[in-house]
Amino acid sequence: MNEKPGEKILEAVNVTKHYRMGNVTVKALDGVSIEIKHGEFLVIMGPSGSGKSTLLHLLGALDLPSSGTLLINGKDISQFDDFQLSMFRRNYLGFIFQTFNLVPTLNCLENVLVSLLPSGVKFEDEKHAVELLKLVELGHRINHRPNMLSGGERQRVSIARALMNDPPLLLADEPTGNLDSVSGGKIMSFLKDLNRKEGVTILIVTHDRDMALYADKIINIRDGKLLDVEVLKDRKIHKKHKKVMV
Amino acid sequence: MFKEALLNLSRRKSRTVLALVGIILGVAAIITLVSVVDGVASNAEDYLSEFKGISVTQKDVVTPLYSSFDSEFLNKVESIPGVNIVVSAVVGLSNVTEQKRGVRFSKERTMMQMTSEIVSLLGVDLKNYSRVHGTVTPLIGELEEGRNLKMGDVGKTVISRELADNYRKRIGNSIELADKKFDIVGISKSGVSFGGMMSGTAVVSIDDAREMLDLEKDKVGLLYVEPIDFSNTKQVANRINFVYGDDLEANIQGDFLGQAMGIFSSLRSLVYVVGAISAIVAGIGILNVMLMSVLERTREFGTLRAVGWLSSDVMKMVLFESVLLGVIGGLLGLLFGVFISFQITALSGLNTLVSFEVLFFSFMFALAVSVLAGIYPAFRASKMSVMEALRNE
Repeated sequence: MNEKPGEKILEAVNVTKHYRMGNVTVKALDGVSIEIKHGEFLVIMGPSGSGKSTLLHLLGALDLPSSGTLLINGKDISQFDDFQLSMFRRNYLGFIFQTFNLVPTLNCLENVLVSLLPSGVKFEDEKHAVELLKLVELGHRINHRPNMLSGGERQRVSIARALMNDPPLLLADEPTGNLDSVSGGKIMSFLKDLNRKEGVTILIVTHDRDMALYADKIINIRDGKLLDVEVLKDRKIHKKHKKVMV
Repeated sequence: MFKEALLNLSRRKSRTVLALVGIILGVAAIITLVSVVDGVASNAEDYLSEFKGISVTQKDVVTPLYSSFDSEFLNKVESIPGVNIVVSAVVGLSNVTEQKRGVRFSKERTMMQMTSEIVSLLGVDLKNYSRVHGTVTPLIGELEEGRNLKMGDVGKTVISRELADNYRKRIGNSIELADKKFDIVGISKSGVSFGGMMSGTAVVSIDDAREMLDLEKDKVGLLYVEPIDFSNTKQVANRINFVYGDDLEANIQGDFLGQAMGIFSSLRSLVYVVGAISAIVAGIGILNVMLMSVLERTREFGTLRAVGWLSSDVMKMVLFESVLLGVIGGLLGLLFGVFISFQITALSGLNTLVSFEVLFFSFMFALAVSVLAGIYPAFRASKMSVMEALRNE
């Protein structure tokens, strides 16, 4: 992907999401509009139940909004069929989950390559996957199964998996939620580096303010509505957390 | 994908093994049962195909035991075109009137002993008997030892192997039938049984038999007809039926063979049905394994969809796992079934015949069952909402 920084990569216009629970309709999202530009490092923050995960799922094309539109490079996502959605997720997005979601029967290398398994893995893909595992400092763990890794290591495998198809956008749902603060800080600074050096756009959902401070911009959500947007000066925060890291 | 399917199956070892055992037993059951039936059928075919020619009895009798007609028919049948030799015979039941050697005397004879003393007695007209074809003795099959009866063999007999073994007789011994001593000149491989429960067959001259059975001189019970050309057997039998159909009934031995084979063939279908039921039970086992595994892996499927798998990719993977179960179970079942068949032959001496056909069909059955059992779980896995799947704990 060779989009220029500053261009819109993903845009949600006035999206709502309703769930029916029995006879009650729950408004998980109520008219939210956000735009994500290339090269940004965004955090969506809010307490649990605020609708932040729902927003992430909509942005990741895992679910369709009840109303409103989601535009990817100006194209309406609701017009996509199953094949187009899958291709969009494979080539355009990288997902990082709170619970890592690695396939327990596959080793690290295979987990990184998992998106390519149905279509077939080429030699270059494998080379690329090994490079990614080295990048996340797991070059020595290539043949290990997830159950032999620590939580932080697992999350790094899942980052390598998310980066496998060089997506312009990484979506992470509480990526540090299941990690201790040291491993969590390491993951966040790694994502930060990725954003700075590789220009990968990153959107993280979290309720942890410490982790949110790595971002350029924090979007606060309450009760399915956009509360405010904080713009942070990143350098200070970066330094502050480097202490924790060492 | 192959590797992943294999790994997914090995993830829940005991459950996979149980499903496999189901398929293995299903396939092995089909193979074993069919091979036993085929083995018995092939024995019967060998046995029955020894009997050639045409047997003529009185029309509409249940067994040749009740058949009786004028001996004049001998000449009449002889004059039918295509007929080579006609041997007239009488048929009856007689009994052995001596003690079995080595069996201790006991006053109270058991039912088994009494029935084992009864023999099928076949009295043949020796004038034509010695002219019949080769080593095949008409009506009782292939001669194993000694010779056939010939002209002037009064007081001599050819007995079946079963009877000889029962009374520990060899060629040159004598056997007492209805208080009359007969010298044994030959032993035939098989005998005829006109009513079941008989221990064997004895062939004697027609005069001896008439005396023993107290039959009239101008009546016969059976004609054995040998055609000039054995390939015309059917036509010759039809001619006899056409000309003398009011009084007589000509049967070719092959008809009986056909009937027997018909019975075996329906027995075989029955066995296939039994096997099919066990295979379907095995299929439900696969269905259970696949459904459980799909439900357990809900979140994994969600992840796979999130990283770009198509729903059809998920479907293929689940279906592939199920088919893999079927293939592995089917192959192991083939080996196990063949092994059991050989063991049956080795241990009980029962002849079994493992045909390529049964191997092919039982394997295809395992495959078909596994595909069918995989479709629903695969469909369910592919139709999950990605987000719901990811939320699943």
